[in-house]
Amino acid sequence: MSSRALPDERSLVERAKTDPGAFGELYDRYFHQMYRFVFSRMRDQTAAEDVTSEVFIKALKGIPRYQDTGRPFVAWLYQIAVNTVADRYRSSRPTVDIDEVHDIGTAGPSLEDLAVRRDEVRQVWAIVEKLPAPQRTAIVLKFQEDMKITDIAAVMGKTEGAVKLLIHRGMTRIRGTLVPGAAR
Amino acid sequence: MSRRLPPDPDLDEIFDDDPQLERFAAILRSTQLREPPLDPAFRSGLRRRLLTQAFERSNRPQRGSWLSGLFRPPAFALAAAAVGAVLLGVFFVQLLNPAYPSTVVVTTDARPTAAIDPSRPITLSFNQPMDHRSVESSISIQPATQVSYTWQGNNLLIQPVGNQLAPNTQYHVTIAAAAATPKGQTLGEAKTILVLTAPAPSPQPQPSPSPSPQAPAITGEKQLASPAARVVGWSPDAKTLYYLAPNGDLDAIGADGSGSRTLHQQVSLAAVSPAGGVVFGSAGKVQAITPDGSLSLLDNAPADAIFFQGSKTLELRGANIYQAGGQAPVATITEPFKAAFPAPDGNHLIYRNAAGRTVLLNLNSPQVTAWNQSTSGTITWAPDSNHVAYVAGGGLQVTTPDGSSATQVASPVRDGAEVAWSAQDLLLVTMEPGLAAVHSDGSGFTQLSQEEYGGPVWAGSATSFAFLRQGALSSATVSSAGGSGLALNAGAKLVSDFMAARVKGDSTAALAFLNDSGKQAFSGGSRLLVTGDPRLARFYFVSSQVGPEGTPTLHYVVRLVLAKHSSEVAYLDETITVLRDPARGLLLIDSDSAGPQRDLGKGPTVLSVDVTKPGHVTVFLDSDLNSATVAGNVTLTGADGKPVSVQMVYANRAITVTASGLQAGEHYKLAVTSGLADINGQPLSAEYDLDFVAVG
Repeated sequence: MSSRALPDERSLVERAKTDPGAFGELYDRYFHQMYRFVFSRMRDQTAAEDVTSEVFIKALKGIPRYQDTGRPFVAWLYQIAVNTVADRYRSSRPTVDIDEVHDIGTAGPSLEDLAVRRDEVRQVWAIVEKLPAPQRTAIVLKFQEDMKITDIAAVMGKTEGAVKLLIHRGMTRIRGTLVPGAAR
Repeated sequence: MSRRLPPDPDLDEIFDDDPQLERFAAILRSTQLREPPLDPAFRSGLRRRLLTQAFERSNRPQRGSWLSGLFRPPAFALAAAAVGAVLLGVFFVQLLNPAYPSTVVVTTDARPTAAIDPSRPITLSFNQPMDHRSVESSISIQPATQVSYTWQGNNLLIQPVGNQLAPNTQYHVTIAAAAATPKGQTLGEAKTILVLTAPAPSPQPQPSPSPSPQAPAITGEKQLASPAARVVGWSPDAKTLYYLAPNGDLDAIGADGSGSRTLHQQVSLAAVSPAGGVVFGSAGKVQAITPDGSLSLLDNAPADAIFFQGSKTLELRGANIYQAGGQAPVATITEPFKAAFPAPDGNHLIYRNAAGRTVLLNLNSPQVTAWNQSTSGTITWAPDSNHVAYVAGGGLQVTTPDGSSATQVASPVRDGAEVAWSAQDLLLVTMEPGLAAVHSDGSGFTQLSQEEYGGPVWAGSATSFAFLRQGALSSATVSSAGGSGLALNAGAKLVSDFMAARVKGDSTAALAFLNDSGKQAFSGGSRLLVTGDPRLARFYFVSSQVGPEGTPTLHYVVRLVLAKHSSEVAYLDETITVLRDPARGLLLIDSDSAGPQRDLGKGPTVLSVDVTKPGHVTVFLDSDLNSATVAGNVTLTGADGKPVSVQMVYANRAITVTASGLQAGEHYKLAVTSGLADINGQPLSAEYDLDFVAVG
């Protein structure tokens, strides 16, 4: 999510405040992205469906008060999703393996390379899941959702500097776990 | 293994050129989310719920209005009474002249990415009565389609004149801003609704250029190992066979008889994982061993059965089904039972209760369905998990998993007969004596042999099977298990699975369908996964045919449809060749070539070509054509480059070319040229040609 809010999106969001059809278009546009993100956090289909429903119902309720700050509309949805997931996370832990959720996205390497990389990916993401919640959220939004620091800061209600610090601390902890002798 | 991140100013400050941190960041960024399981009914149901709430809200009076304040007791009670009579008058006026929402809203129940039946009309729903003529004159449809309109209240049904929309097509239905209510309230801005139609039926079985129907026969029989007690299964690549020896050893041996080895001892049960490797129970534990011999402990408890749901390992322990390593059961059999038969996809399980009743259990929900008829022996699932076979009443029965559609497909078959169901829909049935083969619709029953073939197990989608005879493990091939007609369907299924993996972005799964040459065709580029913008959204078959005599190949042209968000914007065609791996008997994708990427919405597009009928070629398009432009713009030429004399008939977006001079087995080229135009005069979006071999 690297682009700014597009003009046609702005007008769509404005219309969605009063026009159900426009809200339906926003739903069609962002359902999959939100569901995928929520599933990656919950790792359970039923829980992901519950949380995704909650996200869009909250969005429907909240959209009349939504104010365009120049950030992509989807950042606002992420903000709702991150908070909703955090509420659920407290009461239930994910049940599906990390391997079920992440995959290597490039084509071409040999099967042997893929196996090695898959193992690396699995290890790194397993550590991410054990990080403190703020570090985990910042890293997931940055690397999995490809968001800009400024948008992550808006989603998390923190300064850009604080988000950078969270990512740095999280990454240092990953290194400390996987590279013996490296500073934590 | 060092990887550099692509430039990201956001990260420069964070990592300060620390190569280790950059490496871990590269690993995190190199991964993509695997496509999560998604119930389309959930998606559409949530949308309906949201839109209902949104509509209710848009029609609800705003809080804090002067009206609600007026009635708030006690301060304005008198004022309320005073205006009561006035309001009553207003009420009657409103009855005669009802108020409608100030904004005209149009919606549809069709989703841009959920295909509808092409015979279904497109329905537009307005939130208030509309001026019919104004709306109908405001509608434009791409691809060009002649339609008729029917109003049902505030709903407009748009029906193609030919009663069928084109299959595999995303329609853009645009309602111009001028569409108005009888009072002149307009839509305000143009609205485009996307409607996707379902695919045409999958490729039909097609005779080879010189058909030579043969009854299946067993060939290439060879003894692999002795002694053996039970066949566990084949590796997914059909290169290795796993079996249990009488002393409890879990052994593996190459399909060619080489590389015999013991993987583990004292094994009580085992199952081959779809991802490769074996999961087995031994000494009260469940363990997994990978193809390279790595052993891992999954559970410290004994299992009664091991099966798989995608990449998840499931274990039946007593009446509970657990995911390996899980503490809480994912499903429970809530009554005493005697036998259980899990489906290959792990989504269902059939069990027989203590009273002999057969019951289907959905493992993803607590739903159970009891069969009406009783069963006694083994229940064998079809590889696609959509049907089961069992022996009852002296015959082999095939039914859906809920037992509701049992049909006898072979008799006499003794109780206790063993059945193996191939991916190419051939069932092997152990007889007394010997082995028989039959298709699931009861066709092609053949007694293959009078010899003993105990516990047959098919190798994936191959024609090879393993069996036991006199305590030894053997394998053999059923020579025409694919059959000339079935092979095309089997290949189409392979290509479908390959394409589905690509749409999901699962490169590992997609690569498993390729042989070395196929992997070469996709190496070194981003062609396998199209994940950018636009991304690969769906695919469909344009044509399929069996290769010429002497070249045992299948050829498919598959269209990759690329979308931005939910709008389909471009496509490209890939020609995929499938052949049978001679060593393993598996169908694999051998080669692939891609045509140029072309834009959608720029004129008529060829959807598919049928070359399976002798003397005929039919070209299906997505647009209603100007029939005067058909002649001369669809041509056939022979391998020598000379034009073939043809006659053409155009109807319902299909051009049927009849050429009596087509010679079976000979190569021809079909060309559709840009002089062809739709009813709006828009020319063919891109010239189309297809090399094919005529059938006889």
